[in-house]
Amino acid sequence: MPKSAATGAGVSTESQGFAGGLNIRDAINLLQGDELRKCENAVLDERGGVSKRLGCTDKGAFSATGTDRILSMYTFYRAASAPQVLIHTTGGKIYYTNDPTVGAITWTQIATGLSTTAPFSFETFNSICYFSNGVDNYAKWDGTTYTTIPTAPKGKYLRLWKDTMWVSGIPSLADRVYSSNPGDAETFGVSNWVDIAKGDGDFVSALSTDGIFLIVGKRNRGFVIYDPVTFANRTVDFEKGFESHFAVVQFEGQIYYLTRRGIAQWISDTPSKIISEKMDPLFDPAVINLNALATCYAYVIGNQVGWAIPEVGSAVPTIQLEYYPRLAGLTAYGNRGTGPFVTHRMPAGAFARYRNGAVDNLYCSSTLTNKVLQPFSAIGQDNGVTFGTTIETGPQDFGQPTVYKYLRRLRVLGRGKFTFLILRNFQTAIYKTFPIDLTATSDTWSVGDLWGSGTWGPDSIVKEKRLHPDAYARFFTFRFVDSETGIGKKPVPVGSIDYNLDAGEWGLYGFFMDATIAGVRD
Amino acid sequence: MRQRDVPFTREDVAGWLADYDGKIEPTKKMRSYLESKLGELSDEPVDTVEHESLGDTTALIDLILMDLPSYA
Repeated sequence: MPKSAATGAGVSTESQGFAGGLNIRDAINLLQGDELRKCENAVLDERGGVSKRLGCTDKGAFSATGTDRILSMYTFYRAASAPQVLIHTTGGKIYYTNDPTVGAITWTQIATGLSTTAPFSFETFNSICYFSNGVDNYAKWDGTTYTTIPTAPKGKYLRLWKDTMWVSGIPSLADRVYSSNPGDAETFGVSNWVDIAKGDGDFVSALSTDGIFLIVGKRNRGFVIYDPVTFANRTVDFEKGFESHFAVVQFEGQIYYLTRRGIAQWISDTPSKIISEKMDPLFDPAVINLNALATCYAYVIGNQVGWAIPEVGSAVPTIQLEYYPRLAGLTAYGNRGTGPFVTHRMPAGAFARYRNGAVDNLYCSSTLTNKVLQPFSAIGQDNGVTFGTTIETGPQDFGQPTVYKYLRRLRVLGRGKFTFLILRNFQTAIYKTFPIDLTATSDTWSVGDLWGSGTWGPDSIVKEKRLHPDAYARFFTFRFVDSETGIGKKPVPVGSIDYNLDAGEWGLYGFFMDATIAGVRD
Repeated sequence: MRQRDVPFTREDVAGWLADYDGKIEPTKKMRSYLESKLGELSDEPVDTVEHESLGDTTALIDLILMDLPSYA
């Protein structure tokens, strides 16, 4: 924030952007200038700027039973054909669709009579989709035919590594990891297994791979199998485990996953690094439902990496914690530091990314209905329900924490329509309220205009609004909220062409303030 | 013999167990039954040096008996 100024002096300053993201860990008076105390349903889509997120498009019901929900979903990529999206539901059924891009998706049943609670893990090998959930028989789907393989290990988790299928999560053999024969995911040698930290009282909760090692996650620790022939293995992280097989995600060469203590970044040969320190208070048993963390699911869309997490009192995810690896600063050695986080409240549980032709979409399960949704799509509501965005800065003192300031003028730079609120002196009551509408079209010149009328167009999407807050405080907190239902546009300049892309209803780039340092007031 | 070189699959064992007259558990009777199926490879030492809880080698029959619960 601004430099110190003498009492009675004027101070002109500007916000420092929002690239620091959420910080709910630090004391309220110690937030950095670019950090936010609240950031819900907003995306950090331009470094330093923040926008309302897009909504969730209804892609139709997958069953006639309104209480059905999706347990897991997966995109089955087939080199010679369009990908299929598969879903496993609480109705004990697996469905597929050949085209999730249409308005109301047509779902065709693959199998029925399956578990209504244990989500299937999916993996593709030899152009066949294999699935297993620890309850039902290991099975395969080639795009048209469903076949069970009852002699295969009946594990909860699958992972393809080094030309073999790895299976784990048999409840009665909680430490055991099985491997298929090389090149054949349907035949398992009778002794192709190893126990990882046998009898340690823990259980395998995830399988993943960085391509070099098979990562075996237990709930309290992390291991790797580094030789697929001898099953040689070692402990990598002795105190951070994996909460959910479905909450392990890769982005730009890094693996991120959910642990009891937050989001961790896998560092292969050394213990993982917690990257969500600023979100530490979220991982309190009074805030999240520790007993349902196995339902957590991860997703990637654009440069956003997110995890759907259940809050206390809910058995299914209720919030999404979203990470922006690319907004992390670079160290002197060229390594990325830790990026910012935001949160969303979408009715979204399981996720599947789908890329085909010109389409690159994310789909998710609805946690409230028997539907599939398309999150972050060009719509202003979540399955017809209005959602609000809230962004709140830390308290700002203009470099003079002990004296009052008079906030004389303020300019807001952004787009769209929202409400600007001022709070003061760490209080929760709203002190000032200003509706901001940057959607009005400017008076641009037309052939009917006389000289001097209007301005030479086109109209700008990004606009400024001047306010006269007439506000006194020692500490100012700025909050931005809305209850809009539409979407907006975000200009992306590519040389001589400006692409106006779909974006949330509003965006905020910053605000500029003129204040006067006043005196001490008791 | 390395683990992956064992010339039997889970399918083989599942087939034997389907014909077994009794409960699927590691009893002496089960051991004798499986030994009759495995033949001379029954006591073949399998390299298990990378298994924390096993010796450098383990007899094939013992490895199969240890994994019986997965066939249940």
